[in-house]
Amino acid sequence: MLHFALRRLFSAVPTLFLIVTLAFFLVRWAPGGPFDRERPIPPEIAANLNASFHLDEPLWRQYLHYLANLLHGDFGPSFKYQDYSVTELIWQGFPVSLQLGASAMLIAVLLGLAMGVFAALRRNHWMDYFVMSTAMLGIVIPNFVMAPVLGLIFGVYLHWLPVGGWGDELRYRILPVIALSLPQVAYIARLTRASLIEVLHSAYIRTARAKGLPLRKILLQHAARPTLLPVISYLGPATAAIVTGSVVIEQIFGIPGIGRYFVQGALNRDYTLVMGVVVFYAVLIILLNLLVDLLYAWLDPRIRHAQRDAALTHVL
Amino acid sequence: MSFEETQGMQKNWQRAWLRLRHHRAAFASLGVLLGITLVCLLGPALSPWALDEIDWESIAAPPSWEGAHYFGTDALGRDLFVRSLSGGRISLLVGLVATAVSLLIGVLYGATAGYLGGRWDALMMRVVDVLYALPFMFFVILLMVFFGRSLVLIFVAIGAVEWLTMARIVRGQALSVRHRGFVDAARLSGASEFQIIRRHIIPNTLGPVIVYATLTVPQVILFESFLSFLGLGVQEPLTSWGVLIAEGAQSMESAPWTLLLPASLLAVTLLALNFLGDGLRDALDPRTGTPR
Amino acid sequence: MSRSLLWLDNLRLSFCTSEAQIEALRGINLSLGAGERLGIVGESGSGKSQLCFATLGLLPDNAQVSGRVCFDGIDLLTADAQTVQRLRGNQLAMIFQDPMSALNPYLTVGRQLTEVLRWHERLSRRAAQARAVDLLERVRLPEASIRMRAYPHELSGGMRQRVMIAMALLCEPRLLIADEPTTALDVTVQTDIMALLQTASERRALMLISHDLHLAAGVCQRIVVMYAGLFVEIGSVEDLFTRPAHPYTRGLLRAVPGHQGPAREPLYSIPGQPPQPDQIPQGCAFAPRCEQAFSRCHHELPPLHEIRAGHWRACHLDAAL
Repeated sequence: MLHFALRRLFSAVPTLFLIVTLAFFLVRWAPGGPFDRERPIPPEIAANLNASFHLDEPLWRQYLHYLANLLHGDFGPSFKYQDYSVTELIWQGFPVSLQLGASAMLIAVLLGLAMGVFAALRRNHWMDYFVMSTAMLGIVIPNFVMAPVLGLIFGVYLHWLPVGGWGDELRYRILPVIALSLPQVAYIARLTRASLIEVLHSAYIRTARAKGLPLRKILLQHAARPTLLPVISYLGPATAAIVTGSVVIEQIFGIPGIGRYFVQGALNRDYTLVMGVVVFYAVLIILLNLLVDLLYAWLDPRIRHAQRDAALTHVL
Repeated sequence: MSFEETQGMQKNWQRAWLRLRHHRAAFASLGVLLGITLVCLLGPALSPWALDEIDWESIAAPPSWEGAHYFGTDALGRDLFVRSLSGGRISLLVGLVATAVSLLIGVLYGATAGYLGGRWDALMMRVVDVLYALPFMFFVILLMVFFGRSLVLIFVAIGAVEWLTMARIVRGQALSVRHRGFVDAARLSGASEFQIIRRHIIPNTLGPVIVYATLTVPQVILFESFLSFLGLGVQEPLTSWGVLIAEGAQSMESAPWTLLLPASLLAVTLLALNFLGDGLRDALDPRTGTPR
Repeated sequence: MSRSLLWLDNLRLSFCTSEAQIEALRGINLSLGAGERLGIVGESGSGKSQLCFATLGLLPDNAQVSGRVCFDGIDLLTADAQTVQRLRGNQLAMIFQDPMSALNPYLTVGRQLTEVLRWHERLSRRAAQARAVDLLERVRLPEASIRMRAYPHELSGGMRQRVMIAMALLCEPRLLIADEPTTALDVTVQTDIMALLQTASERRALMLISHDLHLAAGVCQRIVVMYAGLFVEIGSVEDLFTRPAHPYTRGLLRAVPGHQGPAREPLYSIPGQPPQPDQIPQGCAFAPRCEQAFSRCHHELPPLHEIRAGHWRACHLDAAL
């Protein structure tokens, strides 16, 4: 297992490298980019830029400096916010975005699994159709529509919950978290239903029934793990979707997270900030994908062993 | 292609068409989509109002027949009916063109990998795996920030992001078709490689490609709406459903229809495209479609 | 024959699909005594596997069953789920065709064995472990206690089938149903597994499903020949081999190389194909392939009748034995 984890970790290195390199050259080549001297840049920022990117040196040295800075977690100075570095801005917003995203993910997984299992066990019953139609709505109504509509209903009309803002109280968090999680709830519910139905038709479930085990034991001991596997492998894309969605949700509800800085940066053409956020999220998503892969391997003995065998033959 | 083969192929397509017609939700969706497209194309011409025309007498007015504001007006007094339909044109156009771009890249890449096989195939698919892990939405936004927001860039950027799954599907199909009997038979009977690709491999990969392309269109429309909602996509004077939803969200407290009407159009279109995709999958691939 | 342990009365089974109603079993009557070894033989698609599944109640949702399946006096079709669960895996056990897909790939062999004992006999983990290892040794699985921790994909095909057999024997069932237990295995392993099955079926009833008449004859006392969802001939092994009464049985016997007819004669095969389950012909289902069929065969379904003590057949031909 450790071997497998290490191999996976190494296989993520080229992806990370690709992202960072792409980021560097995109910024370099962008028309009116940060290194374009014709754009009026406040002198303080120009000085900061010069200091962190060593603009007077050849390109390849600039690239190396950039890599070295990244390794220290330094994304360079912001264009817009003169007193802050990009790293500071990201670390300011990250705790908020993390709370939002993690809560949404948790709800998506728990509710999605529950709905999917419920529908699969009542296959072709009206309750199945009802749950799955609701899930379909969750998929076709994007969260940037769902969020204002929820705000309209629960905030403007019913006055139950605030329409925006962020605070420690639960009431500030309900609407953003729900709006962010709904599409993922829907995907996970559909995935779980399809997966459980397929598993229940497999030969080994028939064997378990032939052994006289009750439904409860069959579901928990024989069907749970294979049903979860496709859901686990969806967690990678789900993370990316939640991160992407958080950008728009933070914008709508006025939540001071990374996503809002990102949109502000994008609209203000704050190159280093936008770049920094993209690299930060890319790394985060790749690392989470890695975690998902490990979880998958831990649950599926065949993968675990195939990898171990492959590793052994590699060594021999 | 021999006469019998052509006949057999036509028969397959006829059968698929019949199956699609029996799939009620998918067939109805096809009708809804044709309807929406037609209204988007013709509707603006039928309204007395123009896209940017401001009706100073009715600002943020609810839907009514009298002023010919069928969807009401927005916070600036512009006719929402005309704006929604014109926005629909852009959204649908982006959906189709960006899908076509992704189709082109995906089919070329996938077919090449599947046809070459072996080491090249492994390498090319490894690249796809690596790209899969990237958060593409951010890269598209990045491109928009650096190179300015234009419709052409939206087409290309979204298309360049959505081709990965298409490449995988085509590659899988090409690999499986390559080893089937009729390709060997064609090769033995002296057909050239090009003829084999054109007559055997492409027709046989067509089904899954059509299905996946249909399912890509709603994803692309959603993608574009997302960008436009953030103000990073379609720019004035053009509009799209995403732009309208963003504007509607600003004025929803006083004029909820400015949010709800464009949002419903978007949701209905996405729903219909998803149903159509499901129906096509059942029709073109009966193995997964019919219950046991 | 002793009091019957399993008694099937006019068992009918059909599947409802979107296109058609498929009839898998078209009225099966069978009585199996305690300790009796019965072989059920037929081509693939004749309904023999469905007969096992119907007996154990392991059918998909779209199946419709009618008739009676009585095990030890209890009708399994009408009994409540708990009663059936108590019998399955305990008194009635089944060995499946393909041990690779029939064993759960995500659980260790030990886990899959002990759960049966812990559930039916409420044994402690330790006692269940000991009993499972003991059974694995009885089915001659090498290094049994180590294999307990293995996953199915780590075992060979033969070893997996040994595990399957051990699993079926855990609770000392009174009836063992084996559905083509050697089909998915290498030929070299087949003989071992059949020998094992023969020992395993001592002191209990066995229902052996096979497409190979000779394989079944090696283990069983009585043989049923099945065609298109019906029994066409029932008899002792001796009856069937020396006096096959149904043209289909005769065809099956002739179709095996080296058993009948002079050498160097081209290998016989029954002409035509078995009917599709949704297009079973009226009259005798075998008539379209039967060289001796006459007009009555195409219109009237021949009933199963006793032609001599314990030897039954369903055919209109004169009893020319």
